[in-house]
Amino acid sequence: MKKPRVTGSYILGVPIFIWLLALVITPVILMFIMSFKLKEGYEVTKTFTLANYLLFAKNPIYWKVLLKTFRMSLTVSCCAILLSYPLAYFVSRKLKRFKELLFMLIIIPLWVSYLVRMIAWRTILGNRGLINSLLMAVGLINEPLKFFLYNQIAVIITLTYIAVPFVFIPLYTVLEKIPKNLIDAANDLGANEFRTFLHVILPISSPGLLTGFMLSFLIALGDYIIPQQLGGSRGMMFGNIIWSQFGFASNWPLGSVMGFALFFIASIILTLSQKFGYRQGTIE
Amino acid sequence: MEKELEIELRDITKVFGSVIAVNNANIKIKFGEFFSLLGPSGCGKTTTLRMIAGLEKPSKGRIFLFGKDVTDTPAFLREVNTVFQDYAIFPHMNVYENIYFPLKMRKIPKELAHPRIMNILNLVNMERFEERYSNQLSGGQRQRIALARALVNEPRALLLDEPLGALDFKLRIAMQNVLKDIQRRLSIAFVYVTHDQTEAITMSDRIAVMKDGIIHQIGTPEDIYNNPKTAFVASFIGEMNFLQGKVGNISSNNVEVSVSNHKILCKKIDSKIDRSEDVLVCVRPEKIHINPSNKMPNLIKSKINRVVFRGDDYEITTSFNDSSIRLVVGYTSWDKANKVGTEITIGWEDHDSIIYPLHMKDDIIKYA
Repeated sequence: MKKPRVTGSYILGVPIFIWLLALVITPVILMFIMSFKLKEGYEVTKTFTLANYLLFAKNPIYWKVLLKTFRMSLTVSCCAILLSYPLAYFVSRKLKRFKELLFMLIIIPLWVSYLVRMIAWRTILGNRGLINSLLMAVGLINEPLKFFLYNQIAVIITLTYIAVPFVFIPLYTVLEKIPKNLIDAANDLGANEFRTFLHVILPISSPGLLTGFMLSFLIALGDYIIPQQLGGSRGMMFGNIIWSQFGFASNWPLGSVMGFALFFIASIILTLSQKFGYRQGTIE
Repeated sequence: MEKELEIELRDITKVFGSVIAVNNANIKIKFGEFFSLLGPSGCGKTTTLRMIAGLEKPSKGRIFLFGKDVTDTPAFLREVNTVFQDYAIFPHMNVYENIYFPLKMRKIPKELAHPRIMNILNLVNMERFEERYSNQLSGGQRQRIALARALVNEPRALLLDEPLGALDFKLRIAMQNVLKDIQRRLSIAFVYVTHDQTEAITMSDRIAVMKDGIIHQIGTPEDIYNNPKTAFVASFIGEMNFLQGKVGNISSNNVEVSVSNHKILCKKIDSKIDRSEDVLVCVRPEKIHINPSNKMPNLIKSKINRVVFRGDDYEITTSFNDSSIRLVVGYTSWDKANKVGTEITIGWEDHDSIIYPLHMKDDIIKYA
């Protein structure tokens, strides 16, 4: 029997393959298997059943929350892009001296614990938080406004804040790489600044845009801590439901069904956006 | 005469921080002229071109395009287009879309644009390439697409920034002919930036020779070659021998300069030259004859130091006392009996020696 030749370049791929296998593929497979089992008391049976899937499909609340979660994640991604794109454009193309400094300032929040940032927002949006204190000090309101916290808006604001650095980095990277002579050429051939942006910069930056969108969408989709801490009852997301199945409700099979449903739909969305997002000949 | 001026630069100066990139440039380019900006890297030729295009604003001076003062007009409103050094083809559009781009900016509808795009592709011999993208084209093909894109809007003048620099030698020669041919057919002014003096001489109607932001001379190729105004121009165009000496007698016809104890008769120059002044004496290698049969004003016995075979001729380096002179001898004229160490007589006409003030010595372009 002939021994297959293992070349050096294949060996480089082994660590990442093991990592993927152990931390990604295997858990997903286990979750998939778990979804077919049944819960009895605090135990899980060894049967194979589709009962959990039926339970999930038949309950309209689950679907409502799932849809709401997609909608909110989309909103978060759009807000993050609307904030990050002008920022990335400005820092990468218009700044000369303070470019690296600004970049660091935008990235630094990533160094701070996610939980700390989240609690900070809970305070900012609260009754005695920054926004209400400012409005009351100026005299615009007499009592603190309650609509900043414990609802969807609070969740979206906080998730957007978390997502921005993840959208900023790929956008900045792509925008920085656009050669200046392309802008010169566009100007020379009759395009003013706006039309140069629309016809040259925006299309070329689309891979970065896509990457940023996917990252922020994923971050928002599965999050459950922020909805739990800042969302109140109205800001609940699908992640909370999954979390409770593994927590209080103690129904791991059902939780696995939900987890797998989220995983599956998210994969489809990401694959579709990848297929439509990349164009021929874009700068890598 | 004024009506014929397509492009005019008046007292144009451009400063970047503490560097004067272009220093008081005055250029007048005529209708249908092939005008080159020639000089070594960093001489300001590209900056000058960019100011004509509107991609750079002059620090001082005015720019006129076709009679109008466009100094404050932005690039996208000027009626000139540029072919960039690295082509600047839009990578996210195919060839057709690239060429359509300037027409689209002028809001020309697709039906009217299509025949123009096909015509220009035909002009640069790139039909059937419409669907290709930039990364599927070779350097020469990209260059032709950049040219097509710059011409499709029928600009009144074309600006070219070292467009042939990245091409290999034979392709470059071919493209020089293509460019010259297109320029003649379209009858528009071409402003051509290059550091290659051969390219400038073969293609241009007139050349502006620049160094460190200053224009040393503007003239026809023959003018610049035969009557270089400064030592830099003399050294940059063609090959040149540089000797140093002291001025002796000045007559009505010529000037006598003493070089390494030899008297050399030189052409009179316009500017004032005093007796005993230190000067540079220059003579082109191809103007020097070896063992000339007829009497020449300048005859020197000198010893051969080096013989280099160059394919169609020989380059001979000789020396007399402490001065060194190169001359060129055609393949058939060269007597192989002359070896290193042989003493020969070299001679040239007095009007072939040019004098420059000694302070110009630092401007000379020297290649090891």
